[in-house]
Amino acid sequence: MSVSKKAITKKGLLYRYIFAVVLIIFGLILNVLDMGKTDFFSYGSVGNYLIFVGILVVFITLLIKFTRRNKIIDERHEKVAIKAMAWVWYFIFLGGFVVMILDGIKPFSMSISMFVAYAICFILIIYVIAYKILEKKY
Amino acid sequence: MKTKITELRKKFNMTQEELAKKAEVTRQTIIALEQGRYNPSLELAHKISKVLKAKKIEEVFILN
Repeated sequence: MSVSKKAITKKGLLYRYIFAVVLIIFGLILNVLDMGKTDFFSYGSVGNYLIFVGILVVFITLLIKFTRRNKIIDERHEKVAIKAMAWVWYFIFLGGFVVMILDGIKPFSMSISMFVAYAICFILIIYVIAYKILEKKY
Repeated sequence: MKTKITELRKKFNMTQEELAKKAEVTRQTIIALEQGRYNPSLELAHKISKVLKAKKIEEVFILN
């Protein structure tokens, strides 16, 4: 057992590439079969959106590969990450409660995909803020 | 938790970066340990004590 590990491993990079390829192939299949909404997130189609995300994953993975190779994650980082996730949980419950109340006052007219996209952004933002705050504390 | 990391590190003319490298953690973690902001696991405490040539963990880490 080690007290630290590399932030990005070769295996991790490989999984990212595989994920990107799967997204791109799935996107191409959807485009060929002409399936999915045509106005999906303003990308033209669900297939185009998946291809875009796939290319983005490849780009980010290459960026990680060439810039963050030696970054180390130790036990303090793991502790901060766990605590940050706990913060995320609290805010999900609080945010969910607020959304329910607001929807009761004035119903939202939003597609599920758009709502999930906002929810994921909300979770990521809360996580990053919580991590930065907790990193100073521990 | 109080520590004698700073004291022992200076005794061996070791920088935070060098100690971090030997203990396989980041420099930020060494800073957090020296400032008493972070309580290490038994494994890390043992590793740091070994690097700082302490016979016992208690020579480096002192419980309040």
